Amino acid sequence: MDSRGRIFNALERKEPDRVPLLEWSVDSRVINTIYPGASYFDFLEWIDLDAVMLGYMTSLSGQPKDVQKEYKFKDKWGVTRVYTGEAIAYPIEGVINSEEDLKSYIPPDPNAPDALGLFPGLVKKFKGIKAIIWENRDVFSNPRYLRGTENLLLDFYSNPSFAHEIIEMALSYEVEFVRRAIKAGAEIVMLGDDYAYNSGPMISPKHFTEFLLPGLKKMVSVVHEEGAYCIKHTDGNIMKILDMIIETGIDGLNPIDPISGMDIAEVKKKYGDKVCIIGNIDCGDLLTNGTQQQVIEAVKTCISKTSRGGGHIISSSNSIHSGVKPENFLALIEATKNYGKYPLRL
Amino acid sequence: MAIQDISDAVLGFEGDRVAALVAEELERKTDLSRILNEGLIRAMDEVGRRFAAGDYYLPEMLQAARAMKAGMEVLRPHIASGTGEKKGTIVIATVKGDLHDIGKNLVAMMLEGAGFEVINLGVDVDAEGFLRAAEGHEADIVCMSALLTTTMPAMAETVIVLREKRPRTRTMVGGAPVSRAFAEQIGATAYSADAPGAVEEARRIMAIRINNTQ
Repeated sequence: MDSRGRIFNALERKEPDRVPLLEWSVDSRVINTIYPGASYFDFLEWIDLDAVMLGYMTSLSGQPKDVQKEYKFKDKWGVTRVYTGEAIAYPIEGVINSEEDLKSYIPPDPNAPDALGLFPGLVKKFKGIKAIIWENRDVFSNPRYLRGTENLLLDFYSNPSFAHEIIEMALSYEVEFVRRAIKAGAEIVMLGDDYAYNSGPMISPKHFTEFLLPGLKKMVSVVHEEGAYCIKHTDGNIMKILDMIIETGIDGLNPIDPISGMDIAEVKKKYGDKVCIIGNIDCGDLLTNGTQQQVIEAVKTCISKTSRGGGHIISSSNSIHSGVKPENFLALIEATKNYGKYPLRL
Repeated sequence: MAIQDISDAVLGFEGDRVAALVAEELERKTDLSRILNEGLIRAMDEVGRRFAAGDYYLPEMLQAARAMKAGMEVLRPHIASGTGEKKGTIVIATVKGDLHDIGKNLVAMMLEGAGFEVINLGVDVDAEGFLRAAEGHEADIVCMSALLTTTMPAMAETVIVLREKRPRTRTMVGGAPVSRAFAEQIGATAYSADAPGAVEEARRIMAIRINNTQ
């Protein structure tokens, strides 16, 4: 079975020839240790992942090595961001400070040239070879960046109609933008907005239902309308809102964040018949500070908990960030290939 | 009862009402300590309980903290140093190389809600920055936050610098990738997984006299 077959099989909750592998992104410092001098695409061609992914921020040209640290710029939404040396520039200042600001705010154009960045090149190189994933925003991140997270969350009580307006305005951009990405060749869309942290969802199930769920549902149905699979990514412990997330019809769920106490065996038991589980090797401590042997054991454990009957793709718990030991990333891949063959021997 | 009304108004997210009630109590010469502890701080302790019980999330905590702050603004000029009402001074920031601040700001709010004076230095603060602020404000506790695994070494470095240069400083660490084990490993005085926990720990370590002479 080839890489694409493996991934689509798993997304349809079937059993491929072995458990597939995907990663959101791999930091250039890890790449340069493993494959010095390689471009990102060269690396993706060589490494044994079954999917290739670019997204909202990672598709932009100007990787950290080209950009000065502490370089500030305004992104397409007008949000001020600064590079810290990590892969994604951090938002430091919002744009919509009042209802007047919203009235005069002009959202970006989903059809702006070059808005997909390096993605068309990715599609050209890997179409028919690896499964092609585009990571997009969904319902929560844009309003948070535009308004400031604290202000937006205060608005939920103090000015709910204002919150709704910002959410809907940003959503209408993402609906059009994600259609464009799929038409440009995305076979799978991963919706990347975080809803939770270690303690649980950032907002109550009631607020989730009122402010976020409708937009998530819309994004999932648009992705399906355009003929792509849909994965929902969120960090944190989402157990309290997971029923609702699953019911939107997503095909995959990522990463089942182990640091926040998400139990992959429990998620598999409860939802494994409805959704492909994608995760969950810890990239915070294990892949950064652990030994290769510990990584191998973690992969074996993850497979024995999650891979029976298929419907599982192995990934890290977020991404292969700059702190991950390159040998641990390679150990993760090797262990998946060794122990993830069906029928499972674990 | 008016003091109870203050608490209720905090939990009702009614900042204007909290401020008005506090002002009324001050007019009536109600004991400052009662207004602060039984009116305002007690409400924030209830916020912490509701968070732990899973009833309060970030929007509720932010609203309550804002309402409590409205009352504190009225009360603050009346809390002279030395009245014994200040629970302690805390310097808090996100460590060098890290810009994440939502959780850290929530911890700062809850610590203020517990009656501490909190100096929030913002983000991307190096060891020297923490030390200077601790010295300048005579801080009892220095709180450090990190969200990136890659900035946790900066936390260790800051604890080391503080132990060397200002050994009586209590330190507390937190943030998504930070664990109790890591806190112990780097020699921090305390660790908290969340904002209400930070209040409990801050209270606990204020009662400990620290002298990090190693």
